[in-house]
Amino acid sequence: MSMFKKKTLLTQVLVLILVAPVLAWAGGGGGPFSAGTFSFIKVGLVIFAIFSAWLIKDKMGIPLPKLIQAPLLWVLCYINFRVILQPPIPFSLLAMYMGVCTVAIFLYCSITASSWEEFSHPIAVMLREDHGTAKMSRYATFLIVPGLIAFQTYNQMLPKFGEPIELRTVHPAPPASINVHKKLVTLQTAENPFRIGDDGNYLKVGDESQYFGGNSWTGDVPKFLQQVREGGVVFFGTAGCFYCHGDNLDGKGPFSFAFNPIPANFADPGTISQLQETFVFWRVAKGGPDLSREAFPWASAMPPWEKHLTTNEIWKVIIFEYWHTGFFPRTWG
Amino acid sequence: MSENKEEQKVGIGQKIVFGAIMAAASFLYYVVFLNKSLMVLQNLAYPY
Amino acid sequence: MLNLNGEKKKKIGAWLLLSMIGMLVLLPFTPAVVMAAEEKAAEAAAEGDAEPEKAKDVFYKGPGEFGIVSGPPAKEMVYPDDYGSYGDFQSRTIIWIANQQHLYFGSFVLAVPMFVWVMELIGILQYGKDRKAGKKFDDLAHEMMKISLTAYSVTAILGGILIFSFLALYPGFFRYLSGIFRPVMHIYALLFILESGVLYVYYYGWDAMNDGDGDWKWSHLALGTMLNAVGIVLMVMANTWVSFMMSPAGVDAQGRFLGDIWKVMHNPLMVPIVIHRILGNAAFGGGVVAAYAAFKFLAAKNIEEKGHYDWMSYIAMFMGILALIPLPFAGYWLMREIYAYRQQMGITLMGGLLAWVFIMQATMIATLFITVNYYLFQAMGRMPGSERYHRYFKYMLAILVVSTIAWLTPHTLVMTPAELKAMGGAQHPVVGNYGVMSAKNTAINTMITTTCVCFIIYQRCNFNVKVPWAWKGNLFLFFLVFGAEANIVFLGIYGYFIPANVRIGLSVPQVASTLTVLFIGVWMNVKMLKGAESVGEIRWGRMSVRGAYALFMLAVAFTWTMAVMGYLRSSVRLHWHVNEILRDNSPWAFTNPLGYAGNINSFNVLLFWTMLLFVFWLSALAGKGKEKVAAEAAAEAAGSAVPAGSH
Repeated sequence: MSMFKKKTLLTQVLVLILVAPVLAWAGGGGGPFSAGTFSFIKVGLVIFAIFSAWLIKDKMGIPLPKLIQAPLLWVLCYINFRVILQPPIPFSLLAMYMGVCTVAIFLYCSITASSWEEFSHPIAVMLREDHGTAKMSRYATFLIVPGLIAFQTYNQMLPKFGEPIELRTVHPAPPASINVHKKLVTLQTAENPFRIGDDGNYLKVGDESQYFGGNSWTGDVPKFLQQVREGGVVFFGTAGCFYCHGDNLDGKGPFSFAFNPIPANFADPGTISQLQETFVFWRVAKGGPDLSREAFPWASAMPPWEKHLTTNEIWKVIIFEYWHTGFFPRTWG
Repeated sequence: MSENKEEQKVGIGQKIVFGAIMAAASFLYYVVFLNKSLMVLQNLAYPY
Repeated sequence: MLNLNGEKKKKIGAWLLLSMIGMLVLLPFTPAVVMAAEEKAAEAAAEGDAEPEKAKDVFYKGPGEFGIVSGPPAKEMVYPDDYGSYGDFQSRTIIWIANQQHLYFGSFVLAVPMFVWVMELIGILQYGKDRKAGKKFDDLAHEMMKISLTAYSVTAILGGILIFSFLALYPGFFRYLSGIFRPVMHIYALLFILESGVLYVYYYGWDAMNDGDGDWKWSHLALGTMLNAVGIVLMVMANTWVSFMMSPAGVDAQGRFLGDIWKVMHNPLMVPIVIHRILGNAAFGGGVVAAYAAFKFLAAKNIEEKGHYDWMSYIAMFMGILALIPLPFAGYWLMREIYAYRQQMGITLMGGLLAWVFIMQATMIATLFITVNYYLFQAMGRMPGSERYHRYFKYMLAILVVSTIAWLTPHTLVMTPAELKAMGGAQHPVVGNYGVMSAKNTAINTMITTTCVCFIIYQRCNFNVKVPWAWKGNLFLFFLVFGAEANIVFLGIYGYFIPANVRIGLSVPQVASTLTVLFIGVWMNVKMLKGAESVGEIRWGRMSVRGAYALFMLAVAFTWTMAVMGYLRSSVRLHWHVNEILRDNSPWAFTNPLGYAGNINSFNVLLFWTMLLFVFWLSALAGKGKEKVAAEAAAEAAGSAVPAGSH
């Protein structure tokens, strides 16, 4: 028997070794603790919970009936998602997580014939038997359950004054083609004309990495870096993108705090690195006013830059944005 | 418990040695061979 | 009745049949040959005559890709001239339901022969070794075929309804599409007749041609091969119409047919959609047959019957899962091809208007994997000796749940402005990390790996491993799984620190790790089980009822996923009948909102299962008659025997 217990413990430790880095890295910050401390506390809590469960159940031989385990687990999950996880997650997500947990706990209780028996037997006794305790618990159940439902109904019916939920599409689908300065640009096939290598030919996406970190301000620079420099001039000069998108292209420019939603953060791997160059071209050229219908509620303060910049300047600033963040535009095939 | 009796014939040291070899082999296979070869096949960078 | 006596007669008959089958298989190619000849003649004629009008293909853009214009341009559709309607009812919804029902039954009817073929082959191969086991598989195949036969006529009826709905509600669109596909439409119809013929010979000839593993039986299997081949060709042809609507080719920008039907059929999305659909059909067919068996399992009156259906549901579920495992990768490829075809379509699907449908799909996929594991846990109830592994179930369930939570976390959260303020931005600092692809890939691969481990345990749980190197094998398996999982997690985290195009590439080694566990793990396990000591025979029929419910869940999840993804695939064309060529100018050209789609999908699922219950009931009815006759005959025999004995 001891062999089994050792194995269990070993499994638990190994699972923790596997899970710990994920937790530690995803931990984020919580309250007064720094992110690192917080995640260590969390990992510690998990280890403690498993250890104490093992101590109580296997070592001290105190069985916890499934019928008690189930709500206990549920409450622990709720505490985890509602209290420990900070900042608070929106209700829609909490509902989803708790839904998964509820199903999972039910599956846990019915996972083998014996555990289902252990779980359902007291319920059957409560419903069927005719002795005092069973009767009392039956009355209690038939009072509490409808009561809870009534309370929930009451809560639902109460008039609410919160703002309605906003489902915003951050990256709506672009049109097939756009008209910029009286020229048709087909977004599927258009290429950035300033993506050029030393030989003056089109530079394949990915090959520009050789220029990453290069100094574009020295006298004799490669052709690509010349475009980067001119794009930089647009970013910081002609157009002044940095007022909103920030000196480091991280969306934290001096004006950014006035906007809701905040300006796009190009340094985030979820923005320009997920998109094709032509998508970015569309957004820069047309701005908020040209967002498609699905981009409800069109929450974008981006001006249509085609009114202020030439087509070439727009393409160059795109070159600069990718170069500066070290991302590559998305390509397919 | 016939299973346990046979298991006891194998010393713990032997198990550790074999386990270590297996761990190293699985590391070499997954992280070095599998990842690298499949990333190279796709023409993508993979530093390990 | 066939007279099967005499070795020689048997041989000749079997060979005759085989050669007939061979000729029939070649038949569909004859129109192609004729067409090619005609084309050459036309070209020769064209050379002599005035220069024919040439136009540029919308998709095939090679230097010489100018086709001879050989069809009228796509007409600008006008409402109400080109559309019909039934009062105020949305025509689109009617077409939607008709299409979905036809597709459900069609896929079922195409998938079942695949299983039946495999079952029959196993039966024949087993027959030589163990007659009883061989017969068991053969009967199973026969029973599956019986269900499919009734469903086949339902499919044909639904196909008729679909065509009539098209003619009544979308005559203009249907005229255009049939104009383009005219060269192959009759081949389709002829193939359908061929399919029916083969199907009936295959089914009704089952007993007549059953001589264990002799020539007749092999010929029968060849019939099955042919049935599958024709079925798949039919499906491919129907698919080309659908994929042509999504990504047209072989026509010019005005929609004029350019003379090469193969280019129309071989449009950019055709191949990935076909592959995805074949795998999907197989998984779905397995799910439905498993549900049928689960239904019979619950309704069975004695343990033998229970045992039979327990076994049948297990086999069907297993076949379904075999098709399910490669399905996500095929879907991934399809998605990639869609992006490559049109960025606009890709973003509409994954990041824009329809992105929430993928959350629904994710929910269904997580449900599928959890259900499969739960079913295996329940199924171990019939394996003596599985108690030794009960303690590990909860950890596997925990891993599955954690993966599910990561898998379901959406990238864009639904929240009120107050919640947005409390969170301090649109992205949550912790949960946001789980909303991106790296986390999703890690989660799904972890789930599949866990399922593999669960299956490995299922395989060995009623055996004591006896090979002398058992401890080495166990350690090997342990590090195989642990290493794969560690690698999957490592690649998942690493994915956050690199650009998107490299990150996408990481999914390949992740999948390869999962597949390593699947193949090497199961292979190793089978090796270790050589000469193993059995703890006890599998007690078929002793699975808990919860296992049967899990199978229902599985089947419903399959159907619902199909409905929801069908809505997605069709909606991505937005306001086009044929993408960028033929615009939908009817009042129903808008994209239906998710809530409405959810309702219609659920209605479709419900309708399908109602009809399917009818089909099940019908096939049970036929069986009942036979049982009654058999029982009466037995009673009669007993009745006549008793007095004889009492004398």
